[in-house]
Amino acid sequence: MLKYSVKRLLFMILTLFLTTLFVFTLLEFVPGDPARIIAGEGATEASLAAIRDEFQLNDPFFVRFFRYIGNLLQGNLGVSYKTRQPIAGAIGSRLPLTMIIAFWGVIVGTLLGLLAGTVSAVKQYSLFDRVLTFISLFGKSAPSFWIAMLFVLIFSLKLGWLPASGSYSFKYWILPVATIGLQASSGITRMTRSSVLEVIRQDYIRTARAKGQVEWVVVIRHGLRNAFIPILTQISSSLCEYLGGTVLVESVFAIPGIGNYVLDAVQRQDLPVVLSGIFIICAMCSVVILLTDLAYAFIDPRIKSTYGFGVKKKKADQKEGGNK
Amino acid sequence: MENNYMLSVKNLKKYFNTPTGVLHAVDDVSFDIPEGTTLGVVGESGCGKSTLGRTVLHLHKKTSGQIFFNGKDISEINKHEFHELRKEMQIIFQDPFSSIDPRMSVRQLIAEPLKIFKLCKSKEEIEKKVKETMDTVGLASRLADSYAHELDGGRRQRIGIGRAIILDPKFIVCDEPVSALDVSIQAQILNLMQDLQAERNLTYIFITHNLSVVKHISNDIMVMYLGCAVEKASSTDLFKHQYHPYTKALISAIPRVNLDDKSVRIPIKGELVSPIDPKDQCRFAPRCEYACDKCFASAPTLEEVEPGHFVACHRVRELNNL
Repeated sequence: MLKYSVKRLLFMILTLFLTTLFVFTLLEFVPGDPARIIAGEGATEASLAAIRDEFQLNDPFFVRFFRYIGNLLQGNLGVSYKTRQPIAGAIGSRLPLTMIIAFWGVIVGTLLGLLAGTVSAVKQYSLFDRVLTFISLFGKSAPSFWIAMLFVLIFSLKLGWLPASGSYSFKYWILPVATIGLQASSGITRMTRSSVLEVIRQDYIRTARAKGQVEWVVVIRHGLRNAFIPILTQISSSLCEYLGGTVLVESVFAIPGIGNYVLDAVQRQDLPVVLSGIFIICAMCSVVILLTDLAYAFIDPRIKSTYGFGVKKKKADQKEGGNK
Repeated sequence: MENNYMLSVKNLKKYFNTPTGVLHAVDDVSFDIPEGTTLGVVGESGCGKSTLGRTVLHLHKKTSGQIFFNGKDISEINKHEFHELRKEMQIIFQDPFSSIDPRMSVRQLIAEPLKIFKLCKSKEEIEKKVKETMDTVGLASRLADSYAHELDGGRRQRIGIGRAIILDPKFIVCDEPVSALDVSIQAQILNLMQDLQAERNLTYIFITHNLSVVKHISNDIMVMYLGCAVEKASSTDLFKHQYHPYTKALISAIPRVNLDDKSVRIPIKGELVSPIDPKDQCRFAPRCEYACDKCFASAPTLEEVEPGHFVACHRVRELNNL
């Protein structure tokens, strides 16, 4: 188990390194002189030279790249070209918001999705199943900003129950979480339905029924549990998606999250912010994926034993004998 | 209803609705099993043996007919009443590879029935009972934390037997319990089941397509063809002389090692006819070399041709000089 975790961790670091290299290289090709972006229009050659000196822009590509990596290792995400403020601080204040909304959104989506998916698998082709299939297709295909605006229209403007925008307290998070939850749930519902459908036809489900187990326990303990690996994959990929990309939802609700921050930076050509923002999002996704992989092993003992998880097998005791 | 029968089934029918018509999986089958004995049910694949076993245990909902367990009519009881009966009526499934939840350890698998019926008060009690049961079915206690995929077929089937007997049932449907196993292991499992029967006075329905196995373990044998019982007799009787043409062909197909044996194998021609919406005729008639007009006109019923020997064939007396 330890060996496996360490291996996965090393892979994760390699992934992050390569992503950073890729984004760094990509940003090299962005048209425009960074010094001019920093100084703004109408800067003199002298001030540009001063800026190039200050930001060490004249160094060769690899020197700058490894300097950036070195800074990263020390926890320094660099300084924004525009505000001249450390990026770490800005991200630190925005990241929690994005995380709250993404996590809660995915949790809501998971609960909805598991419930709806399981019920529609058990009652396949029922009216409930058909309605649900329609709703999840709708949830998947309707753009999130549109759903978000619809929510604002109904719950903020018509009913006046919830605030339309901003982010000051729990109340402000309900609508964005609901939007993400609805979107996430549609994928999870579909995955749960197909996965549970496959499992509840298995022989061991019949065995569980023959043992006298109550139907809903059969469905949850033997069905859902065995169907859970693809569902977990779906959940974790939704989480990654929303950790990095809630830009549209953040825009509609005017939430100062990390998606907005990076998008702004792209528009202003604030390259260090783009680079560090992407790095942070990528790091979060890697952690989510790592945790998902470890969770697989806890769900499925077959994977657990392949990884050599700490199942301590007693040496066969002579007295106990083998298979008599 | 006679009380000395552990299980009596009267005119049991199980039809499935399919898009192409009504599939007659079990059609008008009746039998009685005295306590502590084994009824062997034989027949080729798809003749409704497994459906019969499962319908008796209410794993399928019967279409019509009556089932008496221990003298009590259980054909119309509700879910909750039957839930209680599950303690007494259990089933061992055919395929030990697919019928075991891959996410549970041996200990969890065997203990689950105890937890379902809340028969044990403490964890220690469950633990003790599981250990006892594992011992009874011949699973070493070091395997308690293993998962099914780590074990071989014989051990997996021992798990299946363990979880079936842990509640001390009186009656077990054995749905081809050895057909997925190696021959050497088949014998071990059969012996285990016979030992259990002797110790606990268990009553079995033993479903199989393997005639040697059924001879070894059964007191009575019922031969099924396309959902109908065609011949029913005690095991010794049936192997001594068979009256139904289908049974004759089946018995003649048992491989023998005796070189001097002059018995001729009787081939059955043709294909199994569809069990969907069958006509009112002898189900075996299209493949039977003795079939006459009467066989295609009406379905024969089981009649007692010798004491305790029942055959469903219009021409049985004429062909066998009875």
